[in-house]
Amino acid sequence: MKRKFSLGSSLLVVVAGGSGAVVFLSYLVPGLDMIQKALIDWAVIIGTMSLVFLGGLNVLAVHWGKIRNLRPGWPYSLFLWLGFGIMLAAGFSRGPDDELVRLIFKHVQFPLQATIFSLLAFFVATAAYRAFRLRSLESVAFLLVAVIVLLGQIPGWSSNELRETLPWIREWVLTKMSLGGARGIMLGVALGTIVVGIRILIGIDRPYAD
Amino acid sequence: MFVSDVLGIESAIAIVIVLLSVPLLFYALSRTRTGHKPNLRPLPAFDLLAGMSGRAAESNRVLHVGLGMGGISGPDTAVSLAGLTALEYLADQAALSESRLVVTVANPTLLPAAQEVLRRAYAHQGKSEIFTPSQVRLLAPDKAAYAAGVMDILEGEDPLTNVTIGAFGDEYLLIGETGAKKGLEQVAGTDNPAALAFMYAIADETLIGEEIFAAGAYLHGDSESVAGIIVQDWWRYLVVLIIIAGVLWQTLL
Repeated sequence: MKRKFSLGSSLLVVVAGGSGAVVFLSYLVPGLDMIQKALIDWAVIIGTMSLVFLGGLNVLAVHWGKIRNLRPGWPYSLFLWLGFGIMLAAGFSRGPDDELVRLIFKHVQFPLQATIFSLLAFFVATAAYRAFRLRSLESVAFLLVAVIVLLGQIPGWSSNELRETLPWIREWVLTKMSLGGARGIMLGVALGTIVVGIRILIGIDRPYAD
Repeated sequence: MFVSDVLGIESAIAIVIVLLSVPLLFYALSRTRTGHKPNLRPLPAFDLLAGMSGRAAESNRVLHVGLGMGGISGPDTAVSLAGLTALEYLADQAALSESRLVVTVANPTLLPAAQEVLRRAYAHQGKSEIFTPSQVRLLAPDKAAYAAGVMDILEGEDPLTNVTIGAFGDEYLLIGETGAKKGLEQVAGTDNPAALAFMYAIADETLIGEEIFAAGAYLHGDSESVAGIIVQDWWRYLVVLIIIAGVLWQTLL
């Protein structure tokens, strides 16, 4: 998008760039660490307030729209409103460390989380089925490596050679190929992160302004 | 006294890279602004993104963009901003074609940023009246709840596409598999190698690692983003040279 000059945008660039520069320089100049701490504290406070106000209001508004228009699944939205109200009332009246609040988390929130993540095993199976269909050279390589690693997991080979060789190949794939690839990705990401950070710091990129 | 004595060698290297990147970026920017733009290698994921909103408008179906678990006040800031860059393009296209766009976030700090991206895109296309802030939905700051929320949208709101660019982990498997079962067009990208394995297996096109940071250069083509890629490449060449030199040093000496 074409960028227009405005005083407000320029001020935002100065504030954002200045804050970033102070935090960065605090690693070099010992006296700046107090300002760095204050800026980071402000960021944490703003983040928390955005969760409470922006986030909470957004969730309620989206689900209120579903209830009001009786869209498919609106009873779930009603349930969300009820849950939100109950937790809010319990939190305000008894405090966040109260036994009732802990019980709700322990017997409602955590089991639900575990339920969702227990689906991962089944989704891995269907994803593997999809990935292992031989459509290209990459999927052939994908399948070969997966088969080798799976075979390398099996401890009870009757042949001594297989019992020693397959785990060695598996280990080599995991510690050399896989780890090397992951480190390559992480190096690239680190360089990309640095460049994105600098672009924002010096005001070339302005995701926060018109 | 050297910086490395005070901060440690790792921090000192990072600071040197940051400080050197600034003049390099200005140099690359001056070159790209005078028309010296490199040929970008094809990335099919961005080609797929380019036609998505048009196809969504033709079929009157929803375009879903998931920005993942990251926010703009922590270690996932860069990857979340990369997701926002892709969103900026898709929102612009969605506003132009008047296709329905739903954006999901898990971190509340990303919520106003994504809403602002959409507001600007609709205003840019002169269609501010069809933008509603509730197009951007905070589902939940928890992985399982976020995945469940996205799965519900993919199952219940008849989307055509599922674009997931941002900070994702294991929860991508739940999201991506739901999209694949529904036969959605899926583009995924993240910086997390563990999630990338799932993305590569499930999504139609994947943006691997730093490729997500190229979104601006590929989708908007602006000089600033291209200059960023050039500087990244310069550093990458140097890192590769250092690795090769290190291997030779260890092997031969």
